[in-house]
Amino acid sequence: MVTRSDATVGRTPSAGEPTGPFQAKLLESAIEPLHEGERRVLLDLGPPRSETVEYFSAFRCRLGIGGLTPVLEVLDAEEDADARKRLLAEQLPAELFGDTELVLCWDLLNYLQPHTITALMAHLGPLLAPGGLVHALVAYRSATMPDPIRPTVMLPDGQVARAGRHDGGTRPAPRYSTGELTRVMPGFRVERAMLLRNGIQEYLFSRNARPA
Amino acid sequence: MSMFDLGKRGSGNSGQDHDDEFMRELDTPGAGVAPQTPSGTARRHDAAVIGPSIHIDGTLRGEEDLIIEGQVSGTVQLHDNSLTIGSKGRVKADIYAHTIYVEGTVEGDLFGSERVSIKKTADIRGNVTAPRVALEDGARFKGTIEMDAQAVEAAMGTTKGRSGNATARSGAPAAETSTPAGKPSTGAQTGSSASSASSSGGGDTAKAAASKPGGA
Repeated sequence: MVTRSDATVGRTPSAGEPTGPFQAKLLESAIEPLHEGERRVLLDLGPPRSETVEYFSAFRCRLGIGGLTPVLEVLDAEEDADARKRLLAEQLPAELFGDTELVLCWDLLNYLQPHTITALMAHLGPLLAPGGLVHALVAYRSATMPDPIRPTVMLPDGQVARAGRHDGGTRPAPRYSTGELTRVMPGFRVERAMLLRNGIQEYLFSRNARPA
Repeated sequence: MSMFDLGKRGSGNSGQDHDDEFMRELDTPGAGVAPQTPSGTARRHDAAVIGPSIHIDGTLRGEEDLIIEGQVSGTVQLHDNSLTIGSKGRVKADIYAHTIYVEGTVEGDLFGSERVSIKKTADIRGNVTAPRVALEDGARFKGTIEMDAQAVEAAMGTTKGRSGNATARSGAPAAETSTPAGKPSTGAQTGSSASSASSSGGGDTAKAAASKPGGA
């Protein structure tokens, strides 16, 4: 197994926090067409990371980088729905990220309140190409998660891991259930879900045939 | 319509050796630092420099390597040479070059026929199209990176194919990036006449200012 030196999850784990790089089976299945030589348009909502860019550079793809992490707190704290929409439109403009076939949310949803998840998914919906998917990793068994958020990256062997050293604190994980998530993202349905051994629930969401 | 032609100065070869040399110098700050580099980062000695106090609006084209530490708006075309946007550089333009190194701020699309290298100090909003893209952690980037070799070749092939084509619009390239639908770009039409660029200045600092071209 190949691991990067800065993929240090597990060296200083907190209670319930997933340890070490892990296989995200649903993500693997979602990017399987890349391995078969097909072209895909991806959108990484996290910050630009060398590991992820390097990984996808081996494939026929267009990788969008949304870099949403720095504005997560602002987005979550914004109470005005229109202001949230404007912020999302500014951060994830359709002219850059339209017709995306796979959105990589990583563990972003864990850091958002339900109303922000609703706004985010409502914004992502129109950005998706027909048949497009949203991939997400949701803390399910984990009681805590890193605070502040740490970027999640693709490792050379296709596993995923949180990058960087965990020097910060932790915060309680919201531990959203499938039911809660589907309630707060009315335009989407769970395409597939899988509970991983490290306590993370992996999801692939797709748009409803008739978006709500 | 205004444009700025950087004159040919002999050593404007931007082959792999040059890339490697550049990277070595970047990796060893302090070694061989060119005195004219405002950012203090080691540079190649033979590159032209647009200094921090220089503002350029228009089309900038040439046949030598260039370092931008000032402000440039419009279009930058250095098809066979490398472009470095230094840490103080602020570029609002579509950029076409053999190799592009970004340490500063760019708003626009970047087309590198060989490589685009994004340093940790970079702040980019736009799309990157290049056969090789290197990105350092810490960089700020919002946009897309075209990784599809076929799409890159389509864009770059068209770019190269039109280089020197005098029929293209001068100084107003219709930079058409890859489509959001994921279809390969129909090409970055550079409209370059760089191969026939005349010397106009040719010094280490390009000092020019003119009105912004309408289409750029």
